[in-house]
Amino acid sequence: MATTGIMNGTLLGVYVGSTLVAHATEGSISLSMDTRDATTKDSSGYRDLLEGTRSGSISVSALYADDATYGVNALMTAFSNRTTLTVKFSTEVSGDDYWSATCYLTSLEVSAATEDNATYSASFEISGAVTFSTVA
Amino acid sequence: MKITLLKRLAVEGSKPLAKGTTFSVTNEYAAELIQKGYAVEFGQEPTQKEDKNNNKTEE
Repeated sequence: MATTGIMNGTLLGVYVGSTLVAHATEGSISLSMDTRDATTKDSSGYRDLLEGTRSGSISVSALYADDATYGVNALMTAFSNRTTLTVKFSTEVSGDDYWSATCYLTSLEVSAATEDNATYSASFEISGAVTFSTVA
Repeated sequence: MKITLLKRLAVEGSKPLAKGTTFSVTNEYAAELIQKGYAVEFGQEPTQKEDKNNNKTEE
């Protein structure tokens, strides 16, 4: 049954190649569209815009564990190989909406402060169209 | 869906996951692994048939 009411962010996870990024603390998807400036002398002093290229990215932040089921180890392989990945942002609750796209891992940052959790964050740039559909 | 592996599983780009590992995957992938006998839904007991083949590794 689909989630009702204001969604708890904990439910939404980032899945890379079908596996949930382990120990995640944050996840996000950002979509945008460029615009073409179509302002002319006929625009009465206001800017006119036309549609442009759509793009987006998916990001995840997590606590770093070397033995994680999907973590830095797997992401480093993707970074080294420069391969595309299928990334899904989903609750995996039947009836809920999800986003899915083919992506490149474009950023991976690992942080390790004294007497604090080691953490990492990864960014995936979307290549091609974004699927926005409902979990079966 | 959270699943528990009944056999060693090779996850693309990562170290092979040991039998007994519990982790979350998409519903479609979970259904595929359960159907092949490589995993059970977290908290469920494996059937005898699934237990017999636990030396194989899914690629």
